[in-house]
Amino acid sequence: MSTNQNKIRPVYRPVFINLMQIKLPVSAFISITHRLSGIYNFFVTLPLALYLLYFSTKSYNDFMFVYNMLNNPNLFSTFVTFSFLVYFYHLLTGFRHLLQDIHIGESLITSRLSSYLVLFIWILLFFVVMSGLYI
Amino acid sequence: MNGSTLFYLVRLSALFVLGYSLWILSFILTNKPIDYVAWVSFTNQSLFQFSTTFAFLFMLIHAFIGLWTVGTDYFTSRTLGFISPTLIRYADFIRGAYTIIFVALGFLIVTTTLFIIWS
Amino acid sequence: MTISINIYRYNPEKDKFPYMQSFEFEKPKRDIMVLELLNQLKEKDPTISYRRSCREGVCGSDGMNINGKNGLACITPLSSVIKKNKLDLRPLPGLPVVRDLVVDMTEFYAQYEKIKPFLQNDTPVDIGERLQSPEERDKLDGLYECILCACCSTSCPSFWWNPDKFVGPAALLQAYRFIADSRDTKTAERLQSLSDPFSVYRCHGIMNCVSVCPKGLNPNEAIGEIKSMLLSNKKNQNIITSDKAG
Repeated sequence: MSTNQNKIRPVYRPVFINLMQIKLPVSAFISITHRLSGIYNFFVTLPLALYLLYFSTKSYNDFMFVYNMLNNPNLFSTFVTFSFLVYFYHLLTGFRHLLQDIHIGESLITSRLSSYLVLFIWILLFFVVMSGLYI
Repeated sequence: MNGSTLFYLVRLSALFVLGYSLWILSFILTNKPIDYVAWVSFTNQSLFQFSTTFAFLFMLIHAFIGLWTVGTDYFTSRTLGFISPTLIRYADFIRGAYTIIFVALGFLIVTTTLFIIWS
Repeated sequence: MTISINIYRYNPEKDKFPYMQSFEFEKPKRDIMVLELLNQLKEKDPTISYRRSCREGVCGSDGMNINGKNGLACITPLSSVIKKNKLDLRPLPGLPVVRDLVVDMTEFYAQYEKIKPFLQNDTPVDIGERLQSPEERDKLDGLYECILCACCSTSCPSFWWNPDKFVGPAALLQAYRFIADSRDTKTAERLQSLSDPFSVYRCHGIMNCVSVCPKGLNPNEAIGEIKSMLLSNKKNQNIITSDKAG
């Protein structure tokens, strides 16, 4: 009742919020990594994409420089590949979100299934792309 | 702003960017190995120029809504108070600074995009 | 065989900070509920505080965090939660702790109040009751059974960060319970009051609520329905188009 809110309460009351001690199911993991990948995309992948677009269209020499850097396994190509994998992760989990918006995967079982499916697809892609770069 | 409006903006911008990303990906995969001539002729066509401009604009809208949500989740007196009580006083300032930073970066990204594509 | 039980302790009159207290307990021969375990521990240490009432999972008093997952202590068998002979009992996350395993439910109840959890129908009744067909009544299944134990809302990160602005899975389930009720005529007003960016739209489908609900309800599905209705702007319709009651 509204009178409950008028009670005088002590200034400090502890709150149990230790995330290491709270069990988070797989869909919660997907949700937080979707958010983190989104932040990473904005601060890293987007400027990186602009950098690549600029230098790949500037001149022939610049194009070849970028092309050679990306085609060989080095720090830069690994970084670029990883960033685009993170972008793709956001796309995948975002697609799962869109499916939930049209009521697909809203039950406990189906949401768990779609979470594992998304993770499986992405991990598969990760190995395919990374091995393509390194082998 | 109405919650439904933000909801639609996020989804519609996401769909456009998804379609755009798949289009670019399909070009790269069907034209391997890419040579300079093929790439430049692809990026010079007006379809690429217009769609990329819109894609980055939509990505900006999508990102702004997402980043604003992140700010109002984590950079609040309540959530920062969980980490340390001394941060409570600075919560609004931290959120404001974070907002300014991502808005500024966003506009930098868009102006850089327009510069790269249209000049 | 002994099991080690760690209980979250906090006495505002004595303790500056909360701490975990350990108890060694002889593992019972038959499977018991966590509430029964707590009762036996209370015989050892009478200062342990927790809420409990019906002991059969219908009142919602003894919601707590058991080995990391929210649940009702009275219907949680020890065998289903015990891990490596250890049991951690903590209060529901995100809400201020009054003492030991007792939390301040004010914010939770405030959100429940906000959604107006009562039938709103000002039309006159001819025969003394508002009629509802079995099909219309079926629409309330999975919605009315909520016991307001707060396990779902206190497992929701969005509710942790904004318990005053995001309404939370429990209250949203109840909001939909009245939106879906064919006897309620104020659907448009209910939806209008939920149309801001915080009340409903902070739900990102994390689905902790569904995985912890001790009654097996699905707040996420109800929230999805509310979102669909908000988006399609159903202003003056109830969701049932058959004979309206009252």
